[in-house]
Amino acid sequence: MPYSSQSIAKLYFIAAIGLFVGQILFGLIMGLQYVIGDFMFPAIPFNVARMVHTNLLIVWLLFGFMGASYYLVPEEAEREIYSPLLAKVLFWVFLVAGALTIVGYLLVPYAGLAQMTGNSILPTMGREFLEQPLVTKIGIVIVALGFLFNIGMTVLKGRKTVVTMVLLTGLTGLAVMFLFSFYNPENLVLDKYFWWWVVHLWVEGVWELILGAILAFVLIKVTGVDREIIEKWLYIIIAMTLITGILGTGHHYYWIGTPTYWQWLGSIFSALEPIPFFMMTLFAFNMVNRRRREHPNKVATLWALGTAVMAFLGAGVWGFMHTLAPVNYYTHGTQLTAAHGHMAFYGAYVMIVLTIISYSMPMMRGRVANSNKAQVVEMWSFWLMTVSMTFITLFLTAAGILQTYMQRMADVPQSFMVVQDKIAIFYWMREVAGLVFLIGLIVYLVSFFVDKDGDAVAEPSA
Amino acid sequence: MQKKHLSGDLAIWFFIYAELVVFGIFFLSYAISRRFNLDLFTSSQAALDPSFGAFNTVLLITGSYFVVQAVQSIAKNQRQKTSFFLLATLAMGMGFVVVKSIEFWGKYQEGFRLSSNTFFMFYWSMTFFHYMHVLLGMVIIVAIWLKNRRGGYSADNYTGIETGAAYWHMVDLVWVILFPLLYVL
Amino acid sequence: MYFDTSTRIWVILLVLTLFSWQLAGQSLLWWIVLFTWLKAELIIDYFMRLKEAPLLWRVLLWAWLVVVLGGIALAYRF
Repeated sequence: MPYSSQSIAKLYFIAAIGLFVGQILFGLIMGLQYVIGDFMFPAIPFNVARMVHTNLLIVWLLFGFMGASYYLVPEEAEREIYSPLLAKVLFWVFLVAGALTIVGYLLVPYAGLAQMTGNSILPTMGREFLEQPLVTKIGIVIVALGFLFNIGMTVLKGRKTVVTMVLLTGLTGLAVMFLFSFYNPENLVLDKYFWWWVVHLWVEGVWELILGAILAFVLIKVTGVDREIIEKWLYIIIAMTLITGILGTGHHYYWIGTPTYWQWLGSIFSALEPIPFFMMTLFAFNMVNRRRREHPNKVATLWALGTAVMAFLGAGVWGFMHTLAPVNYYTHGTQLTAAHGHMAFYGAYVMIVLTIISYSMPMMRGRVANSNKAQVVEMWSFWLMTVSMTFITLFLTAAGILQTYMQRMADVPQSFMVVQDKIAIFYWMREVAGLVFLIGLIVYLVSFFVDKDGDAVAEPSA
Repeated sequence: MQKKHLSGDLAIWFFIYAELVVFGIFFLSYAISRRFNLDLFTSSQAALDPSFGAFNTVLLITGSYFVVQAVQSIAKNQRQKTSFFLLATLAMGMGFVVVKSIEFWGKYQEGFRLSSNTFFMFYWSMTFFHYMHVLLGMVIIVAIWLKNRRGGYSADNYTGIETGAAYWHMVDLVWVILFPLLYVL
Repeated sequence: MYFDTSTRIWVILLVLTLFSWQLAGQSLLWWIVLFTWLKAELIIDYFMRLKEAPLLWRVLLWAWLVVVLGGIALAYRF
C-alpha cells in the first residue's frame, strides 16, 4: 500500500461488512415471514423488515463504493487523498445518519417517522427504496457531495487514468441521479417515471461504471496485464452499458401509463443489457489467462472472476428472462423479479465490493496477501455464499414461474393469496438456502481472524 | 502474401459486433412489426421522401471512401494527405447531419412524433440512434485528425486510424441497410 | 486511366444506391435485397477489410448479414 491515506478505506469496509450482516439477518426474518406471516409481529412487521433489508443493502454498498474509491484513487492518482480528515468526518456522519434512520424504521411507526422528520415540508417518503426521511436524504446528498469533492480533487490534482475517470463519472452520476429522489410529482405516473431515474439509472447505469472501474483496477493489480489493454476493454464495456442501459429504462415503463413506444424501446434496449456483462466476463477471464504474474492473493482473483460470472447470470440472463414486454405482461412483479434482484445485486455489486475488500484488506493490514489458511477459509465463504445465492435464485424462479402460471395464465386463474399458499414450499427452501448464506457470511467474517499471525505470503518478484 | 489480420484494434471489433447486434434487432423488430401492420406501415412510409435517404447514403459512402483513402495515405507515410482525407470524411459526416436534421425538422413540423404510430416509433428511434452514431463517429475522426496533426501516426504505427475507420464503416454499413428498409421497401 | 480498388468499389456503391433509390415504391423486394446485400458485402470485404482478416471475423459478419437481410426478406415475403 503505497499511500498511507488509503487506509481510510478500512473504516468504510468494516462498516460495510457490519451492515451486510444486518441486511442478511433481516432478509432471514422476512424470508420466514413469507411462510409464517406473524413471525415477530408486531415488533417487526413485514414491511419494516423489507425496508430495512433493502435500505441496508444500498447503504452498505455505498460504503463499499466509497471505501473502494478511497483505496484505489490514491494509488491510481499517485498522491494522498486530498483531505483524509474530511473522509473520516463524512464516514461518521454517514454511519450515524444511517444508523439513526434504521433505528427510526424499527422503533417508530412509519407514518409517525414521516411526521417527525418533516415529510410535510417536501414529501419524498413512502416510495420503495427511497423510504428515507427527508433529513436522511439531505444527509446523503451532503455526504455524497463532500465525498465527490474529496475524490474529485484527488483525481484532478494527480495522475489521471481511465480507471479513475470512469469511477469519477460513475460516482458523479450516482450523486446526480439521486437528486431525483427529491422530485415527487402529484401525478402517480410521473412519480414512478422519475423514481426509476434513481433506481434504474443507478443499478443498470452509473453503478455499472463503478463496478467496471473497480474490476479493472483489481485486474490490473492481480494479473499484471498492461494497463492499456485493460483500459480499452473498460471503454467498450462502459460504452455498451450506457447505450443499452439508458434507454433500457423503458423496460419499467410498459404498464405504468407511459406512451406505448416504451414497450418497443424498453424491450429492444434492455434485451441488450446482457452484452456489457458478457463482455465483462470475457474481459475478466481473458485478462486472468494472459496474466504476467502470479499474485499471491488468489482469493481476490476468485472474487473478481466470480463477480464477472455471477453479474452476467444475475443481471444479464435473469434480467433478460422477463425483460421483453410480451413476457413481462405476465411476469411483472412476480417472484421472478425477486429472483433476478437477488442474483443481480449479489453477483454485480455485493461481489465487486467483496472483491476490492479481499484485495485491499490484507494490504491495509500490512501484507500483500493473507496466509494460505486464511485464504482457504475465505474461498469456502465464497462458495457457500455464491452457491446458496444461486439456490435462492433458483427457488424464487420456480416460485415465480408457478405464480405466473397459476395466477395469470391458467384457464382458471387463482387469487394471489391462494397461489402464495401453493408455492410456500419454495419459500421454505429459499429460507434454508438463506441460512446457508448466513453460514457463508459467518465463515467470511471468521476468515479475517484466521491465522492472523501466520506466515503472510510474501510478494514474489514480478 | 502477408499474414491475415484484423484491421484496427481488437477491442473496437467487439464493440462493432455488439453495435451491429443492437441495430440488427431493431431491423428485425421493424420487419416483423410491419408484417402485422402492413397498411399502417405503407401509408406512413409514403410520408417519407426517399431522396433524403438516398442523398445521405451517397454522403456516408463517400465518407467511407475518404476514410479508406486516409488509411492508405498514412500507410505510405503521407501525413498531409491523411489529414486532408480525414477532414473530407468529416465534411461528409457534417453533410449527413445537416441533411438528416432538415429531414427531422420537416417531419416534426408535419406533426410526426415518436408516439404517432408504430412506424414512426421505429423511424424516430432507429434514425436518431443512427444519427447519434454518426456524431460519435465524427468525434472519433476529429480525435484521430488531431493526433495525426501532432504527428501521432506513421506508416509503422497507424492502428489508431484503422480503428476509427472500422467504426466509421460500421456506421455506414448500418445505414446501407437502414436506408432501403425505411425509405425504399 | 487506372483507378485503385477502393475507388472502383466506391463507384459501384454509388451506382447501386442510385438503383435502390429509383426502385423506391415499386415493391421489387428481391432486387432491393440483392442490391443491399451487395453493398453491405462490399463495405464489409473492402472498406472494413475483412477480406484480409481471419475467416472467423468475416464469417461472423456474414452471419449477421444473412440473419438480418434474410429475416427482413422473410418478414416481407410471407
